[in-house]
Amino acid sequence: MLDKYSILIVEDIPVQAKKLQYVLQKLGHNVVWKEDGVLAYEELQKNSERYHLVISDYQMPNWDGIQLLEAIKLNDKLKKIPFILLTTIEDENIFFKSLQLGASEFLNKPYRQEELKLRCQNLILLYEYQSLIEKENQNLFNELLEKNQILEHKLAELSKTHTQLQQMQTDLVQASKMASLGTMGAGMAHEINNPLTIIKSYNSRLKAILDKEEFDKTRVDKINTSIDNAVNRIMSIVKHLKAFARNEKISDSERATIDINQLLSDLRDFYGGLVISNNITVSEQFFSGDYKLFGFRTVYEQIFLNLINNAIDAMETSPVKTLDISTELIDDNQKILATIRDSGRGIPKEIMDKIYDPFFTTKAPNKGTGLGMSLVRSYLKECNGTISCQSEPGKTEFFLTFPIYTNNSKDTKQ
Amino acid sequence: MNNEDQEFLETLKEEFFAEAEDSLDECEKILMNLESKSAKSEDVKNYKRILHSMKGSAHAVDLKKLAEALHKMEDLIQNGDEPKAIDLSLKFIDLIRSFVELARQGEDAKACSDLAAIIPDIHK
Repeated sequence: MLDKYSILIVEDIPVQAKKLQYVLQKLGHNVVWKEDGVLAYEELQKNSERYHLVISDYQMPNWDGIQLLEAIKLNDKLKKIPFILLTTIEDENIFFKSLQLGASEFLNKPYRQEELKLRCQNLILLYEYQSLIEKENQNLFNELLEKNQILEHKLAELSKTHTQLQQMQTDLVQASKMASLGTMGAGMAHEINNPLTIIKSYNSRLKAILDKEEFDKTRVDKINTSIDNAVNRIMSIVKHLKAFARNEKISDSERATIDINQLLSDLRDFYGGLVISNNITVSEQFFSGDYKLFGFRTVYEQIFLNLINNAIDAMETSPVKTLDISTELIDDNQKILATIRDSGRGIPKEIMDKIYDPFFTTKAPNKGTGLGMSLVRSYLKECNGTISCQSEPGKTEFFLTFPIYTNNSKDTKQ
Repeated sequence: MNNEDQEFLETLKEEFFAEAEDSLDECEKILMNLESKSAKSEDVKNYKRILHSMKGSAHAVDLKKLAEALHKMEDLIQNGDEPKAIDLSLKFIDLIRSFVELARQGEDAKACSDLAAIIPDIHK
């Protein structure tokens, strides 16, 4: 096992060097002999990979054994090579100095051959194991680096996919919004048309009044106010419409407190037209008190618009068409319960489990995306809400609960 | 020890003896300089170093008695101003010379016993 190891011996007295060389060669080692510390160090620098052991005399011209040891320990490439200091000087200072500098062994001359042999073997083996461990460590480290690179690559891919998914989700939300607008478009046109008709009729009355030589200013003012109101109404509808259709990523800073009752009233701008054209009776019953929700306005709008839209659709052929929208305080004023109730055909039991599945729809082709209810459910997650449903022919109720906003609930929101 | 080892040792001994003669000459010269007070402190150091190396080499060629004698000689001279010790050392060098001579002729055993006889005297 020890056949091919190389040992550098450093000794100025030829007889002693040759003896040592002979003994070590008999053990099967390659032995190189240098006559002083300087020559030995030059050789080590030239062949830093070659040697497994250095055996050096202490007393030598130029560099002595301690100086050589010092130089080796300062050289990163050489400092791990085992070093035996060989001397006959029984000087404690040299003994401690060499150990302090990191000599592996300290052998007194005359050395016993058996001892020399065993010490060499031990040191070389130790050095070999150490080198093996270092190599293994290096391999493991390289492997780790490689795996790390793969992971980083995968992470980059994942993050790319994530971005794509986010974009797709944004697109889906937009598509769903546009679908709702499509459904409600006709109704909204009606909503806008109403005040326009009002404006038009007031305008002709105004003209008639103004055609006269004298006119009542208070009447003109009154008409003017009415026209103003009608215009404001149209502007408000258009404003909501624009805000709703806006296709932008929503940022966290847009979270705000929301008055749910006000929000539900405002939604009339969107579905009011549909209600009128379908002859639906709407009743609203809201709790009173200053209780707010917290989150993105557009998220709440989407939730309710989808549910109301579905409710209106469900009553298309119903003899009685009533839509009840109510809010109340529950759980010791900790939560708000919103109920959307319609008198439509009801949801068959067998599809109840599927209504929140993406792309599940019972509507005619081109009438719905099948995404509304799945979006409702993900929006509810966003605002920590819950949804449940009870349905029978003629009566379908969706119950939604939302936590009421308090100052600390903002901080604890994850 | 097998024949090969024996052979190597003999060759090495030859080399040692040749080296030893030079070393002994050198030592003698220094001792004489010390006697005539023309030596420097540097010389004492050098003298000890030569003996020290010889001792190591004697060990290397298995001449243990000689190594022992050289070791004692190292301690004999302290500062180089001890006339008695210098005198003794000079005599001793002569004895070692004859030891080397005998040993060179292959009469190691006789050489060693001669040397062994005088080792105790060195310290007197």
